[in-house]
Amino acid sequence: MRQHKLALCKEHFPAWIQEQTGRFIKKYRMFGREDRVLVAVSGGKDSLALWEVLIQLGYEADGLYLGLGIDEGVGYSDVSRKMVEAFAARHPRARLHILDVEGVYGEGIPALARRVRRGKGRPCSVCGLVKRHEMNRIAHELGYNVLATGHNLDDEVAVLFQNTLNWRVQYLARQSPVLPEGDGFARKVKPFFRFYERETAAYAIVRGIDYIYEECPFAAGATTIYYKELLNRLEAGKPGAKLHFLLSFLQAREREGLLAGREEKQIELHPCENCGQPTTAPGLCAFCRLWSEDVRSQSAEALRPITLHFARKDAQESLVVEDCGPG
Amino acid sequence: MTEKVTVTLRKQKWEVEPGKSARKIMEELDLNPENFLTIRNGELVDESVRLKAGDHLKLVAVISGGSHGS
Ligand SMILES: [Zn+2]
Ligand SMILES: [Zn+2]
Repeated sequence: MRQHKLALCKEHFPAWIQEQTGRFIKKYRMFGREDRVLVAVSGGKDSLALWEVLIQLGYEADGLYLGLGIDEGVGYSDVSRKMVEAFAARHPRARLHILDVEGVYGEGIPALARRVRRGKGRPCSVCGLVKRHEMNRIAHELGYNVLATGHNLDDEVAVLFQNTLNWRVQYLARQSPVLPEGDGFARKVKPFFRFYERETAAYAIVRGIDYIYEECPFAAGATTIYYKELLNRLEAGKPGAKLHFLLSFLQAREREGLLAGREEKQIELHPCENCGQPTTAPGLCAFCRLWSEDVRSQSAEALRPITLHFARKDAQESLVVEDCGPG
Repeated sequence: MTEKVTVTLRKQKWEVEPGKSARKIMEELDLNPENFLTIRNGELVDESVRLKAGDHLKLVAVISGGSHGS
């Protein structure tokens, strides 16, 4: 089916992606015109394509880029940031918020992963923790009620497959294209969750969106890639298998009582003593525990991202650096 | 002008006989077509497209492994 779309209607393919995205946003009740959406952008194809589609559809969608200080000899963070800034410069209606994690907290992901026990040999685990915390914090502080990420079908199916192989019931109960807001968390949505990775890549290419081709140096050889390749072998022999696996899982959970009762088993949350974000542990949340007292208790001012807004003036693009309070 | 089709994937390069589809070329290189997009002479094409002598076929890997959003 996907192949059709590209083969038969190349000139209509971008419009098809945009329409489908709009349809999924409504069908799964992700957000509406009244919502303020913050798109987590990495410089990769999925997040930039998503941001572009949301802008095209006329939603109020701004970008958030987290500088993670990942160099590893290939300048990964520098290159990805330039990609995101170049995109923002071409879309003057949207704002781009940038938080340099290394600049603000004094350490990027590699140094942090070497220092803390949680990160030993697993920088992606620390990276995920930092991203979740900072995205939620920044969304809250800048007044965005929805956080959108570029997860595509292949991402979702790879996660579902891994969680099923290990019967990680608590994760299976939560995996969803929409996680409602509440308890100090922004709503989290994945408008691309039904698109194949080939489709989001094709969209980026057809629309002339420059994205970073290189993989995060830490992700190379990661288990996700292994599972994606495995699932693509299944897809090659059985077209549609990936989409069916995900949709039938969601349906079994919603309509047939798979994992029923799990969602009510809510763990009690407390606000973190330092940042106020909800956490299961008493005292400090896992993010705040990464840092020394001095680092974690910086002023809101010091923790604020910079905002780039490429407003157009007299056909000349000029960069306006704004002070970005909510609203 | 070469009589062959040049195929590139990142830093790898091959020369293959013309007249085959992009899908066939990938299969012969032991690459799963599901993992790639095919770009002929700078333009995104369907994998069923047949390549002629002198064509350049660029394979773009679509699989990414990092989590999203930064
Ligand atoms: Zn068409
Ligand atoms: Zn905290």
